[in-house]
Parts: sequence; C-alpha cells; structure tokens
Amino acid sequence: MIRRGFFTNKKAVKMASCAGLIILLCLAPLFMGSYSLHLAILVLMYIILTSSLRTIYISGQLSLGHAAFVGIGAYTSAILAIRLDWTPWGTILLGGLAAMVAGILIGFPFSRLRAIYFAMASLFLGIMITALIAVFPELTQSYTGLMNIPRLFGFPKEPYYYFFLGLTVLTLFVLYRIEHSRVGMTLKAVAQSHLAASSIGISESRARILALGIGCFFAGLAGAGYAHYSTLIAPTDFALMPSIYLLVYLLVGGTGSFAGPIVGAIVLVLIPYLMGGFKGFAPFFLAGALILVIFLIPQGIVSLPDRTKSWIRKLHKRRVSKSAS
Amino acid sequence: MVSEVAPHLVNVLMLSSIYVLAALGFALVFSVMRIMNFAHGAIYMAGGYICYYFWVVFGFNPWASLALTMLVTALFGLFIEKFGFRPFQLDFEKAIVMAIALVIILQTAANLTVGPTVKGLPSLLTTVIGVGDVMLKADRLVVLAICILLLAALSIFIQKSKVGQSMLAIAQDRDAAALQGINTNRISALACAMGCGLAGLAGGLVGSVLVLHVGMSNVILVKIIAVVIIAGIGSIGGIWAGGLILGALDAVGPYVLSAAVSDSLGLGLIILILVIRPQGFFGQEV
Amino acid sequence: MLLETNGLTKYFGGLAAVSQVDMSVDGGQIVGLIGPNGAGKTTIINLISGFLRPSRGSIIFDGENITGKKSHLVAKLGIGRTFQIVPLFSEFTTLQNVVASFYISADSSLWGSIFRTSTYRKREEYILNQAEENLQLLGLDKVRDELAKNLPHGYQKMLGLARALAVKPKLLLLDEPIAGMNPDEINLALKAIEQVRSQGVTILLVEHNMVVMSICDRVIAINYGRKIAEGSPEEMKKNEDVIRAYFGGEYAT
Repeated sequence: MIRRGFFTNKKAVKMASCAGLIILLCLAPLFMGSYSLHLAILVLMYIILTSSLRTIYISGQLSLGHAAFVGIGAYTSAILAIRLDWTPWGTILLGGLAAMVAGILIGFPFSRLRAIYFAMASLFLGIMITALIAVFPELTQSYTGLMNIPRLFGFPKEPYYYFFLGLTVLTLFVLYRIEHSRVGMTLKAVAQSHLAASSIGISESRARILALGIGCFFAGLAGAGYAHYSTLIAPTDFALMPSIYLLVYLLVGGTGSFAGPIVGAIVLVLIPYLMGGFKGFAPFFLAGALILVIFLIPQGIVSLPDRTKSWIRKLHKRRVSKSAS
Repeated sequence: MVSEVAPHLVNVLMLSSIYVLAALGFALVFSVMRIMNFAHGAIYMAGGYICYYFWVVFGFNPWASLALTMLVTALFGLFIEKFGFRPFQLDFEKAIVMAIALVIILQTAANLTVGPTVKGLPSLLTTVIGVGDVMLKADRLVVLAICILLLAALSIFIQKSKVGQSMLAIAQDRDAAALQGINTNRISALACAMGCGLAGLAGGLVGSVLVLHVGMSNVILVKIIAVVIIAGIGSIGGIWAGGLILGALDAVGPYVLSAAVSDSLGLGLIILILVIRPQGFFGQEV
Repeated sequence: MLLETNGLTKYFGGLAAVSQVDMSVDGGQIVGLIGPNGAGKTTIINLISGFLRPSRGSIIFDGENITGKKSHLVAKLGIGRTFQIVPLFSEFTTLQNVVASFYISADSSLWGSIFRTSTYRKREEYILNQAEENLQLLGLDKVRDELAKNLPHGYQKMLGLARALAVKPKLLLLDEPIAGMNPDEINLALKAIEQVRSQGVTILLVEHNMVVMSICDRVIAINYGRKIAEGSPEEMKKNEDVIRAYFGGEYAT
C-alpha cells in the first residue's frame, strides 16, 4: 500500500527491528550445534516455500501441487550440476528459472480455470510432475532418488545456514515489496472480483500467470538450494503430501498477512522435531492444529495477537459497564 | 486369443468396478453435501485395514468381515458428517481443509500401526473357473459381481426409495428440499454414511484381490477424482464411463508402456479434460 | 462519431438477445438507452465493453474496430463502465478500491514495484491524489477507510461509478447507475455525471427512470433486442412504439 509522509516513524521502527533480527540471526550459529543448524536450515527453506505459496494464493489460486515446482527446481539444478559439471551457484539459479518457466507455462491454460477446478488441476499437475520424474530414469534415477549431488560448500553446516538465511531474506524482501505495491494490489484485485478487475483494464489471466511465475521461481530456487545441501533428492520429497503440508503451514499460520506463512512454517516445522521420540505422532499435532484453526481461529495463528487484544478490550468494556450500572 | 484377452478383460472390469464403487461414494457425498471429501481415499484405506483385522487377525468369516467393515466405515461417516462437515456446509474451502486434517490423521494412524509393510487379505475364493479354454480367477469375478450388485442396488435405492429421492432432491437444490420438509441434515448424514461405507467395502475388496499398503489412500483418491472429472461433477451416471475408461487405462497401460509413462499420460489426460471441459462429459457446472 | 455499432447481434442458444442494432454516439453527448426489463440493454453494454462477444455485427470506437476485443483491452482503450450489481473489491477499503482502479495509469512493472523507482512513486502519488479527488466528487470521502463490503447499497453504486471514472474513459457506459439510490444520492450522482460530461467524457446511459432521461441529448429505445425508436427525450415520451413497449407497467416515473 502507499505510505504517506507521516508514517515514516513507524517505518523506521520496522526497519530497525528487521535489521536487529537479521543481525541476531547472523550471530546465532555461534550458539548452535550441527543439529540445530540443520533444523534452522529446514525452517528457513519452509519459510521460503510457504511464503511463495501464499503469493500464488493471494491471486485467488489455491495450488495443491506446489511441492512439484520445488522438485522441478531441485532436479533441474541437480541434473545440470551432475551431468554438465556446472557450478551449483549457477544451476541453483537455473533451477529457479526452470520452475518459474514451468509455472508460467502451466499458467496459460490454468489461469482461466475457476477456483475449484484450478485446485483440482494443480493437484493432478503436482502428481503428474512427480510421475514424470520416473519417466526418465537415466536422468533422474527414478524412485531410488538422485544421489551425490555436488555440494554448495564443504561439510560444515554454517555456510549453508548463511546461504539459506540470505536466500530467505532476499525472498521475503522481494515478496513483501511485491505484495505491498501496485503489483500486489492487482493480484489481490483479481482474487476478489475478476469482473471488476477486467472493467478497469486488468487481464485476469496475465495477473494469475504472474503470481504463478513469482511463486514458482522462489519455490524452485529454494528446492535447488536444498538439493545441493542434502545431496540426495527423491520424487517422494515433492509429491502430494508435501504439497498438502505446505498448504497446511500456510493455512495454520494465516493467509491474510505476510507474516502468516512465516509463523506457520516456523511453528509447524519445529514442533515435530521438538517432540523428540514422539516424532511419529507429530502429524496428529499438525492435524489438530489445523482443526483448531478452522474452528476457532480462521485467520490463523498470526491473527492471535489482534484477537486477544480485542477480546481483552471486550472484557474490559463489560467490566466497566457492569461497575457503572 | 480369447483365453489371453479374457483375464485382462476381467481385470479391467474388476478394476473399473472398484474405481466406480469408490468414486460413487465420493460423488454421493459431493452431490448431497456439496463437499469434496478428500478423506475418501483414506477411508478406503482404513476400510482395507479394518477388514484385515476382522478377517485375518480376529479370524472372522470373510463375508462377515466385509459387512462389518462397511458398518464401521459407515458409522465413521456419520461421525465425520456431524462434526466435520455439517459446520462447514457453505464454506467449501474449510470443508476441504477439514478433510485434509482427516487424511493426515488416518494416514498417520496407519503409518504408526501398520507401518510400511505391505499386507494382503486372502482371496475370497481360491477356485479358478474354466470356461472353455479360458481360465479366470473366481475371486476377481466375485469382486466384479459384488460391485455390480451393489451398484444396481444403489441405483434402485436412489430411484425408487423415498430416501433416495430425497437425496436427489437435495442434490438439485438444498433449500428447496428443506422447504419441502426433507430433513436435510439426516439425509446428508445418511449419504455420508453410505459413501464412507462404500469406500470401506471397496478397500476390503481390493485387499483381497490386490494388496494393502499405506500409499493406497492417495493413489485411489487421485483415481476417484479423475473418474469424477471424466464423468462430470454432479453426474452419477457418468461415473460408469469414467470408471471404465480409467480402469482400462490402468489395467492395460502398464503392459503397453512403462508404468510411469502410463501414469503420466493418464494424469495428463485428466488435466486436459479439466482445462478444456471442466464440467466433464456428463455433468453440469458446479 | 465516437462509438458506432453496425448490425450488432448476440445469440444465446437460439434466442437473439440483441438483434441488428445500429447505433451511434457522438463525442461529448449523453445518449440514453431505454427499454423494458429484458430488452437487451445490459447485453448491449456487455457487448460494447467486451464482456460478451457479438455473434454478428461490428463495434467501432474512436475509429478503431473493437468487435470481439476482450474486456480489459476495451477498458485500456478508454471505455469505462458500471454494473447493475456492483462487483466490488470487497476486502479493500473504498479508497483502495479506487486506487486499484487507476491500474491503467500506474507503473505495473515488477521492477518498479520491487525497487520503488521514481517513476513508480510519482505515478502512485498522482493516483492517490486523483483517487481522493474522485472520492470527494462522489461524496465517498467520509467512508474512504471503510471496507467496501460494509458500505450501504447507495455508496456501493457510487463506488462503482468512482471506479469507472478511474479508467479516465473517453466513453462511459453507465448501466442503471442510480437504481437503488436515495434522492440525495441521485442528486449527487447526476451532478457528478454532468461534471464528467463537461470534462469531455461521452456517456451512454441505461436507465428506467424517465426523470434521468431528461439529462440526455438523445435517447435510443430498445425492445426485444431491437432498436425501436430514436430521438430527443421529448420525442421519445410521445413515441407510440415506446409507450407500447412499456405498456404493462414496466417503468416508474
């Protein structure tokens, strides 16, 4: 949205706290062991994935196949690095671009579909892309997974942490700027009323394709980065359930605000790991969170602070009017 | 020639009828409640494993096990209609999300209790029937027969019985049906119970002619939605056609091409249908 | 001639909703389109604005053949429109609705949005000022921060008008713009329409209300998808075909 002059103070505070947070995050590895670093890397990656899913969501498209684009990025980068011996730094970017191109190509037919048909089509697309991976076993090693992907750095985890931190900051910066600007406004307009949008000159399909391109680019980028970190990827990493989980993270975190996917990713990715031996039961917690959200907090976790504030205000009002009577 | 084709034909018909059985349950819930029960595949899988427990672990009679499985899944259907779907009748997004939560719960429960091992139910009948030179497995014929009988019974029920007619009415216009004095909540609950019962039965039948594994819930969900898309959302009759087409593709495809290519082509076909004619070949727009 | 249609025809199945309509609108005019319910007036608007494709016939706007062009392209060429049932950006505020509607004037490049270039910022500032002006013109400034879905009906119709103006149209298609407004709102709307006309915008106005017809320079009467009469408002009031078309109590005076 357009910010006027008198908001500058608030903006300065926001920027200062962001900078402070980033500094803290940069210093964090000094206190973290290898396992925590791995967790942090995962969380950062899921923040990127869930946020990119939201960019597609705000244009009115519910994508049930997002993980497949992560996979396109991962496999493209891995195969180029293995087969053509290109440096991962280049192939990661190419992975992102490949996913972006895929998203745009898909967008052409899909952007004319109404909401529920788009959801179904994206569901099938995600599964089809995963199946396609198995169609070219010479390239992809099919279901056994692609191994020995060239590393981005050496064996210690710290450089990877900084890499993903940088990628996350970059992604969030770009996505934030996009959402709170003319482009973001156009995407949200299309989601609310395609009739009104066309009457003011907005092409619905162009806007939706743009959203898909942006969302898929960052998803592919993160996926490619992950491939060169874990050195092993398999089709099941990018199949239906991973796509559904991304959607769950987004919904539980809250779709209405930029921070929603970030909160959702952090909470829902960390909790299973904090459950230690009960890790197998983690999905129950996830499902429980999901049910809780749809019944009680439809706008997601991120809306809790505001809700508690207005709840406290209501209580206070009631108490005041009681004592007055 | 016939003796080679016949078993394949039976396979196609049997696979198709299982798809049709499962898809019908899904379509029933959708028509009456306007909700896409994404958990339908998971209930099918649960049905398969429940049947396994009754039949193999507890040692009940196979037919009784199948019947009990249907009952259990039907009761579960009542439960989820009341608590999971009724609150979200008008909000399709929330209903889908609720179904996703169910899938996660059921899938995880299966992972934890059964794990990755593949299980199988014994055949319903081990005899092999010979018709001329053709050797057909009796159990597949039996499954086919059960499916056809059930589908016929379902058609008769919907066309002739008062409850069935009520379901049709609600499927066309929920509010008008309510104004006519039809208890929409109770009929919806019944539809959901029937749908889930059918899913459970299909799972049990598949367990006895094929295998049970925890991945089957997602696999069948995709097939079901594909069938419904080919048929057209809202069309019950078209499901026969959808089931046959998909059954044929899946039974024959992997022989002609590799499994992966056959899968991809099948999925590509569905996407094509969605893009070109989302309302399917027999249905109406949502 | 700013707008011209030749033999404009639209079939739905076997039924002709609009049949062989020839009409023309000169620049600077307010032309009224009248007719009973279901006569095809909104269909004509939808055809001109690109929301429907003509089955036959052509539409020429400002010298360019726009027959069959899609709605967003038609808007970009300078045709703005309102709708009978206002489609709103319901989660946006009134101000945001109007700001969003200045899409054509904005810098929509990704680069501009991400890096907030000076082009981008200048255009957005310009748009914000224009939007505030439009809101004031239509009496919407008091509800500028209200969510559009919470607005009462009359305000929503005003908002529809404000949105159509944001397109900086050469031709404005108004589909029953004052239906559902109270007398004060109607006055405000009519004043705004006059002011818009004085700024050089041509207007094609669909209405039932005969009082509104009086602001038109010319009136075209439609019935059963065909043009049945054309002339000044006074002539139309006395025209027999027009009176017969409305027989049965379809219009309110």
